[in-house]
Amino acid sequence: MNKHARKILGILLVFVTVIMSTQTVQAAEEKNIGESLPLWLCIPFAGMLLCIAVMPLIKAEWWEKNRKWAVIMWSLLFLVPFGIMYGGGAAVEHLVEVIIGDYITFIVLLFGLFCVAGNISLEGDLQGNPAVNVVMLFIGTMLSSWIGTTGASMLMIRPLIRANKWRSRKVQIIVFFIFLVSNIGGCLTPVGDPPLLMGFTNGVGFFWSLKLLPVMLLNVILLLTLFYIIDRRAYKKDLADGLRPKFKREKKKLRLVGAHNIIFLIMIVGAVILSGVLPIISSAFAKGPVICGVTFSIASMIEIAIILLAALLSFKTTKKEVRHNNHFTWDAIQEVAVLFIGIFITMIPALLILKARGADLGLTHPWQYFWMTGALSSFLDNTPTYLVFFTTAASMGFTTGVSTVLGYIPKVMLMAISCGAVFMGANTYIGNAPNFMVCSIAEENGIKMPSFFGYMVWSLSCLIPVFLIDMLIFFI
Amino acid sequence: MSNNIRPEEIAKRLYELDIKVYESTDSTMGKVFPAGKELTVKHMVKRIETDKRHFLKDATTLISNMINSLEDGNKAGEYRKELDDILKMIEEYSPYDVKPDSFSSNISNVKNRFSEKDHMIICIGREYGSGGHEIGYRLAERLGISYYDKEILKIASENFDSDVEALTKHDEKIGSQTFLDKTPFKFFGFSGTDSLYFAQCELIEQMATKSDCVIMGRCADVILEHAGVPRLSVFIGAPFEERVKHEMTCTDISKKKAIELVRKMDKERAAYYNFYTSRGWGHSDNYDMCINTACYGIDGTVDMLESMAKFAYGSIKK
Repeated sequence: MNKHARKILGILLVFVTVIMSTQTVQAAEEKNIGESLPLWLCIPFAGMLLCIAVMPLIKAEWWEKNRKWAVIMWSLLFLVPFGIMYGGGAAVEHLVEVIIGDYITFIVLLFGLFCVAGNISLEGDLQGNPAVNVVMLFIGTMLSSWIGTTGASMLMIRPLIRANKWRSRKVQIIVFFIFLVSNIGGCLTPVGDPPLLMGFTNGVGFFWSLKLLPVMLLNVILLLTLFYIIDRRAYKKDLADGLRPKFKREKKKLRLVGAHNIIFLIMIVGAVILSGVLPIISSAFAKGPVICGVTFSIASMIEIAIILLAALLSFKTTKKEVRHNNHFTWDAIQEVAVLFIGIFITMIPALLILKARGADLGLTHPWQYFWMTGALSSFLDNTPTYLVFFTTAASMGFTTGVSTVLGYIPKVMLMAISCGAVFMGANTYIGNAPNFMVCSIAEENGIKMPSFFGYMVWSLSCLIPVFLIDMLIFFI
Repeated sequence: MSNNIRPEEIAKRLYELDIKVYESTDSTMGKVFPAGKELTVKHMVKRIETDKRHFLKDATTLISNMINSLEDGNKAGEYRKELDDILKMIEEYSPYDVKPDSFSSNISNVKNRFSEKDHMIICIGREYGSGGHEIGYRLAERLGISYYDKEILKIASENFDSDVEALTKHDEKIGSQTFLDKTPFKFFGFSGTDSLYFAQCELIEQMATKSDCVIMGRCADVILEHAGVPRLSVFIGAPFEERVKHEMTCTDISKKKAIELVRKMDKERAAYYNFYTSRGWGHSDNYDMCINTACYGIDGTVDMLESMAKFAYGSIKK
């Protein structure tokens, strides 16, 4: 951290301390902040998103060096007014809750998968063309539900990029990878995507999500067909430009170098499942040290410890050449770590408002849940969004349907909430954790990805029609 | 000032920098410019000259990302400086300040196209039944150079342990998959037609750099253009009715069958050429010369092409 950063953090700490000392009483009296929270406190979140969307376009190099300042600025622009209005204690509590409860587990999981997947390299004469890409996307999509969208994304993105290195037009490959592998594929089990894990911890059966298979298959078929058409056109243009794969008489068979890292990958997936299962087995795992009023649960600590151990073992047991081969650098994870702390902090008011007023939205039909959960999951963290609508649906007094700890939810309604939360994370780069990582890894390896809005053009034109079909077939 | 900057220089320096940076990363994930030097430089120059320099901005950003990922600080500094120089050149260059030398530039003047080190390469595209095969063969004989038509398939079959008949099924056709599992190309995961196309590309480039030759069809004109090999390209055609008659005479088949065959073959060849080159098969702007053999006959056409070859290569081939 440089001199300026230290100075600003110092000022921030003094400021927060002053606010805390004067207004903690007011904070304690505030029972439901979300209900009285003004919408303008969401401006820093919008500003944060706008910076992510616009700055790489107008001042790319400056943004690369200075994005941490933007994160600090927008975070302060939320925390300071919030502290003044509701007390420094409340501000610190929410900040700590976001960091301990959400951010640390989020970034450690991402870090672990990033490290382990970076130590696995698929080598051989695999050359990307529309058919091969469709197969690879399909494999990745199917893997997502069993090793998580992040795990499948980190595992599959490099082989896919490497296979297509001979090509020039490959943006569509990465975009559809984000659609399918980083999002839609994760809908079948609680391991696939965190919202479903949340459902599992609230009493939804582990294999209940398999009921989403028809929806997922329809989406996969539609999107892969569309992808094939787009990729074939791009492939044709590449050939017409004189590009072609290097031909070697001696063929190399496909092989997985660093295959032992699969064990560490399983370790990480196991840690995620454990973090959900342990508090159910014993409430002792839900307890832990309390920091500023926020419990850092033993289950989370176990999860973090296992993931970090897996990452360490992966590095210790894999040759450096494998990482070089994969062009492994820390840039992608650094970028995500910096930007997402800002997103998580500035997202606080939006989530508080949603939690407080979600039930007032008057949602009664599955299709309404599908779109509302989806629209909000496109920009907010999809786990709390899922939980808000899960709770709302469970509190509607249904007497039949899927039994959860909060009450009954009709099957179709829970399907709509689950699909909305999982699928529509693909609508934006920030909709789901792996989206940004995949984008960063692609850009590190010579693929110019669309801007934030450019990506949304892709998602609006390719995904929204598919989601409309989902609604018509499954949720009306 | 910008007049002193040549787009070729910008393009070459950027291409070379991409290679240097990529090699320094030890990565096997792919570089920014996946194509060969000639081709990449050509595309870049086109964009610079038409003031579409924002495309280069994407490339320089990606190269810059790769430089940032280098562990060796000294190398990174050196490459960063080189990139800054290139960016300065791109900034200073103005395509509107540059005047063309003349209408007959090096590109359009066929006499200036070839140097002493170049081989005499004549690529002939042909409509089915126009006598292209015979013309190409006789022209090669007259000029005393090699002739490649189905011979390319024979070489491909020897090189890739496959039989000629299996390859023939995919020759100048698109879309067939059955070949895939019968050849070593299966590890590539490409369709049989694509695999054969890639193999033919290699062979055509090899043949064109080894000796003088006439190459029939197979997008040879465009393949060699991409490879930066100077060549003459010719398209031979004739009115449909004449070609049907020619086919009936040569093969002794009924008119109905001849019509079907000529239509089918034309369609396949056009689809093949259009697919792999994205250009119009038989469109005059893609060739140095288009000839109607119904007007000049086989011998007349051979005479004309011989004169054309001597005109183009006259000063360098005795």
